Amino acid sequence: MLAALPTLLCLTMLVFVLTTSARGDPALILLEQSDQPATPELLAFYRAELGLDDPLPVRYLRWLGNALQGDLGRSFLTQRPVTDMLAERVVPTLTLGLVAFAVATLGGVGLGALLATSRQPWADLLVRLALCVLAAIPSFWLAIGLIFFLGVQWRLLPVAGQGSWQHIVMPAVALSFGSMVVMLRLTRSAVLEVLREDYVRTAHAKGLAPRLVTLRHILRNAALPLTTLIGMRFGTLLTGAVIIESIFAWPGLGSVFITAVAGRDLPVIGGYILLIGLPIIAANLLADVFCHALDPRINLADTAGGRA
Amino acid sequence: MSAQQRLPWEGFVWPGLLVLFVVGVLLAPAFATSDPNAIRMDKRLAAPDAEHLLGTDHLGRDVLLRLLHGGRATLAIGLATVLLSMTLALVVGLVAGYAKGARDVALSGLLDMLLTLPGLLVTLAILGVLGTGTLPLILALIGTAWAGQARLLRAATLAIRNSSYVEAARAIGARQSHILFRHVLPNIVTPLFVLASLELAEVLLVVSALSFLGLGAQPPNADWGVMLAESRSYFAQAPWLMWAPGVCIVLYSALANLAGDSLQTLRDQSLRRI
Repeated sequence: MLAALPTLLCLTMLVFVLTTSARGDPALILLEQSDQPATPELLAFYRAELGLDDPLPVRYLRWLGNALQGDLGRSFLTQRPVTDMLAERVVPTLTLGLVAFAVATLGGVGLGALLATSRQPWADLLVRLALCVLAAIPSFWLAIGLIFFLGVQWRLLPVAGQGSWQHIVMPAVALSFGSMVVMLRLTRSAVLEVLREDYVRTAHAKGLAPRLVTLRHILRNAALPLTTLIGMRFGTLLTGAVIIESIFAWPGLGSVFITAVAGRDLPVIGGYILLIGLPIIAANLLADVFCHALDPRINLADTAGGRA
Repeated sequence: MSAQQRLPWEGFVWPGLLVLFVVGVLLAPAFATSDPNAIRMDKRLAAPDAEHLLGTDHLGRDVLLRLLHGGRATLAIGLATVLLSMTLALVVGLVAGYAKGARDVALSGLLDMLLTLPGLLVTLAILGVLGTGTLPLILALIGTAWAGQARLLRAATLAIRNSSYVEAARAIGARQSHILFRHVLPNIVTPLFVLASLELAEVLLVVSALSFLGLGAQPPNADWGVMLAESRSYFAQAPWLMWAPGVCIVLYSALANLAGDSLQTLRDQSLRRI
C-alpha cells in the first residue's frame, strides 16, 4: 500500500522534469517573443522573475503547487493551457476505458473459470493453442476487422464517432479483447491450480453443489493472483485507448496525446501522463487493498520486494 | 489429477517454426530484389493474380514484396530490442536476486515502481522526448520491457540462490563468479528463453501499433503496421490489403507465444516430476 506514495512522488517528478527541461531557456524564449534584446541583464532579470535560479527542489514544489491548482503550463504547439486541452477530452476516454475494463474483467474471469471447471482433457491442447493465437491478435487489426464486417458489410453498428450506446460497442470490444484473453489465460491456470487442492475435494465430498464450490472455494482462492493482474490491466486499457480512439474517431485524449508525441509537445505529454497516471496508481492501490481483504496474511505495508 | 497433458514435441516444434519464420523473413528480401516502393499507377488496387500473388495497393505497389521488406525491418527491431533488454534485465535480475539485502530492496522497489505505469505509456513518453526514428524506437521499447523481465529473472535467481546446491557450493568455498556462472545462470536459461519469445511477440505488436499510429516506420518505407494503416481507406474495394499484413502479425506473434508457452509448460512439468 505504501508503494503508492513513492510511485506518486516519482510520477510527479518525472512529469516535472519532462515539462520543464524542454526547448532551451524559457527566459530567452520570453524575450524573443516580446521582441526585446537578449542582453545579459534582461536575461538575468527574467530568470530571477521566472524562478529559474532557484534550486531544483524549490522549483519542483512550486510546479507541484501549480499542478495541484490545475496549472500544467501551455502547449508548445497550440499555446493553449494544457489543463484545458486535456479536461475537454478526459470524459470520453474514461468512459471507454471503464466499459472496456468491465467487459474484459467479466468476460475474462467468467470464461476462464468456465473453461477450467468444465475441462475436457482432450481439449486442453486445443484450448491452449487457441488462446495463444487469440493473444496474438493486435487490437488495431481487430478494430479494422470489426469496422469491415459489422460496420461496412453488414451495417449493424456505426463505424465512428460518439452519440448512442451503439457507438461504444466496437471500440470497447476491440480495446478489451487483448486484456480479456490475458485474464482468461490467468484465470484458467489459477483455477486449474486450485482445483488440485484438498479443500476442493472436501467441499465436493461433503455434497456442496458444484456451482457453490466454484464460487465459494475455487474462485475465492484463485482471485488472489488475478486481483493484481486486473488492477494492472486497468492502466493497459486506459493507454491502449490511444490506439483504438484514433481508429473510431472517438473524441478522447488519444488524438491529443498522439499529436503531442509526434510534435514533441512535452507539456502536453507530461500532462497526459500525470492525468492518466493518477487513476492507474489508484487502481493498483485498490487491487492491493482488495488482496488484503481476500487474504489478511498479506501485509499492506510490505510491498517492495515482498512478492517474489 | 495429473498435470496438463502435454506432448514433448511442442518443445521443439513451435520454437523451430518461429526460427524458420524469422530466418525466412530476414532472408527473403535477398531473393526478392525488386523495389518494394516502385509505384505503378496503371495497376492500382489490383486483386491477387499470377503476377502479384497478394495483389497491389493504392499506388500499384506489390503487397507481397512490401510484406517481405517491411517484415525484415520490424523483425530486426524486435530482435535488437529483445537482445538488449534481456541483457540488461539479466544483469539487474542476477544482482538483485543474488545480492539480497539493501541492493535487492532498492532495485526491487525501483522495478515495482516502473511496472506501475503501463508499457505503452512509457514507450510513448520516451518517443515524445527523443523524437521518432529507429534508434529512439528501440530505446523506448527497451525502457518498457526490461523492468518486467528483470523482476521475473530476479525471482528465478532468488529461488536458485536459496537451493541446497548453491549452499553446498558456497560451503566448499566456491567463488561468487563460479556460483553465478556455473550454478545460477544455467538454471535460469529456460525462463530466459520463455521471456525472450513472449517479448518477441509483444515487441512486434507494439512496433506495428506505433507504425499504425504514424509514430514508427515512415512512409514510403514498408512496415506491417504502416500497411495496415494505409489499407483502412481502401478496404471496401481491396480487402486483401487488410488481410495480408494482419495475418503476418498474428502468425508471427502467435508462433512466439506458442514457443514461450510450450517451453514454460514443459518446464513446469519437469519441475512437478521432481
